[in-house]
Amino acid sequence: MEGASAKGVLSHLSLLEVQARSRKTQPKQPSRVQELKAKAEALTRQRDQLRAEVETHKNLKKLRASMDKRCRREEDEEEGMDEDSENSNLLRLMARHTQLKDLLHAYDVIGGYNIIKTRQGKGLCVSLATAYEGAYFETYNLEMDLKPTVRISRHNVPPFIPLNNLAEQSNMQTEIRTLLDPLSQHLNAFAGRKQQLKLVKELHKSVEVMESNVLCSFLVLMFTLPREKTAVLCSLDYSDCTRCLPTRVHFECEDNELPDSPEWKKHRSLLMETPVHKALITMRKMGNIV
Amino acid sequence: MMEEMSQENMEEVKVLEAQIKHLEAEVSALKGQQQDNHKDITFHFRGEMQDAMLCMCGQRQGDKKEKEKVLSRLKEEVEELEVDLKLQAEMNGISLTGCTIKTLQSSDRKLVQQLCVSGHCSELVFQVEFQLSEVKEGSGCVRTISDLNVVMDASDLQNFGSFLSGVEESRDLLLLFRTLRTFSNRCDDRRRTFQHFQEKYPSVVSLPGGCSSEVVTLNHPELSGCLLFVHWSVDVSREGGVSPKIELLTKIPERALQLFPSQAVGGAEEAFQSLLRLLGPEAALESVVMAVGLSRDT
Repeated sequence: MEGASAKGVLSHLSLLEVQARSRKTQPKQPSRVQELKAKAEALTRQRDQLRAEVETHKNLKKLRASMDKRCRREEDEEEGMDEDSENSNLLRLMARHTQLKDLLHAYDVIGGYNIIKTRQGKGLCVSLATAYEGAYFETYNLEMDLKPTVRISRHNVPPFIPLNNLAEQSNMQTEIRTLLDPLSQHLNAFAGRKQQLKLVKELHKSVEVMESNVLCSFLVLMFTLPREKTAVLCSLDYSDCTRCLPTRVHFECEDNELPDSPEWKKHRSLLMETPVHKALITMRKMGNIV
Repeated sequence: MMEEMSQENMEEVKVLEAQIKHLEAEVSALKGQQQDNHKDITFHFRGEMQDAMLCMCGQRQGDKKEKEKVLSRLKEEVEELEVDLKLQAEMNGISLTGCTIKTLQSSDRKLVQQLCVSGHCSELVFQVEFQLSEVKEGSGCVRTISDLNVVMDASDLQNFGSFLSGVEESRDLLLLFRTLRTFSNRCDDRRRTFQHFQEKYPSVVSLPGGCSSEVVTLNHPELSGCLLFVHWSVDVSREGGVSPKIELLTKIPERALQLFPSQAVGGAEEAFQSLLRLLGPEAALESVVMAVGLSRDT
């Protein structure tokens, strides 16, 4: 850094010298030499600035990496820094800043509730993220009052999710998570069932969706059997709304014997244990449905 | 003007032109490096951090007061972030202690990052690695997870094994953490309950495997041959369903069973299940402990 300013001063001095000399001999027109000197000076400044930035970045990354290592091993040793203490304080603060930002981002990505305190602690904003099989879906929001009692003031949770029931059954006056955890379970299970239905429609065009409801807790599908050329009606009951798998699978067919055949008993277990869009892939591979 | 330039000037011009060419090359190389740096989101700065960066690069070198101001403003912001982090940890019941982000791909439309998140949920320690991609589609942004990999302590893995392999396959990151938290809560319930009874009835209750174990032994000091075991396991289904299961197991010598052929002794295991259903785990355990202790008082 010192070299840079020394250079800047020197080139400034030489410019002044040139100007003084030219003032004595010739009028105003800047010579080619003067133009070039000015340009060289500007470029030098720019280069030095960029160098300092790239160097700082490098030091910051190094410091951050050692801080991360320290956190993992819970060591108290810190690698020696050769900067002066003022700059090293600032650098350490900057590294901690990046660490905190990354950690907060992580809470968001893993589906944390993203709590924001509002109105000097009298209120709370909560976000509930939903995801299924690696894909993120809607985020729902609750606004809550904390004083005088804990209650939900606003939300965008759909009406078919029993929010009021969950609030009543919870212990939210003392522990808000007793409301948030079950609510998140309901919302995520709903997102999962909804996505399964969407995938059934997209991936299995030969399977007809006869009935479904807005909560995706009830589904009736029609399968076509390749050999027999008959249809099988399959109803899936998801009576536990905290789950993405059905609680009951029922087959109906003109051939009354079929649902009890060993093959279809296998299908029933498959549908009870595997998400429907995946179960259908297996059933089609086995050649039992079109 | 050209005619007015002397031979000396011509040489100087040549030197300067060469110098400028060299500088331009340096600047362009450095700009390239700067661009690469900016692609890494972690080190792409705005606001207070940007001011701090300029300070570090000596743009405001002359003014010491200015530097102090930047330092104190940044300090304030860092303190706010520390408070926010504590809040998220408390409200989520999960403590994240480390998060490293590597930017694999960064363009206007698409961002792909590799994250490694480590932390603990009560006593459970984890390290989770995954790829996160964010693609701009229409007005919104589509986020997807891929390549999910979970590392946990081997002893914790016992109940978790089939769930973990399922969740790595389905890449359901959110389900992983919800289940982790629920599992951890149920384990905490068990630990608290066992510890409570051990402290309250030290002569009867013993924890051979420590507080975190699944089994507690009940035994009256004068009846050394007769042992009752309470096995409290917390099972996790492949789907992520957490279910505590409490069982009473008896180890009573054959001779004793012959002397006391009553249902009370032989059918203790089933009877306990009914007790569980009626009173819940804590009260049911208390009844059994008191019975074993042969105590009349509470």
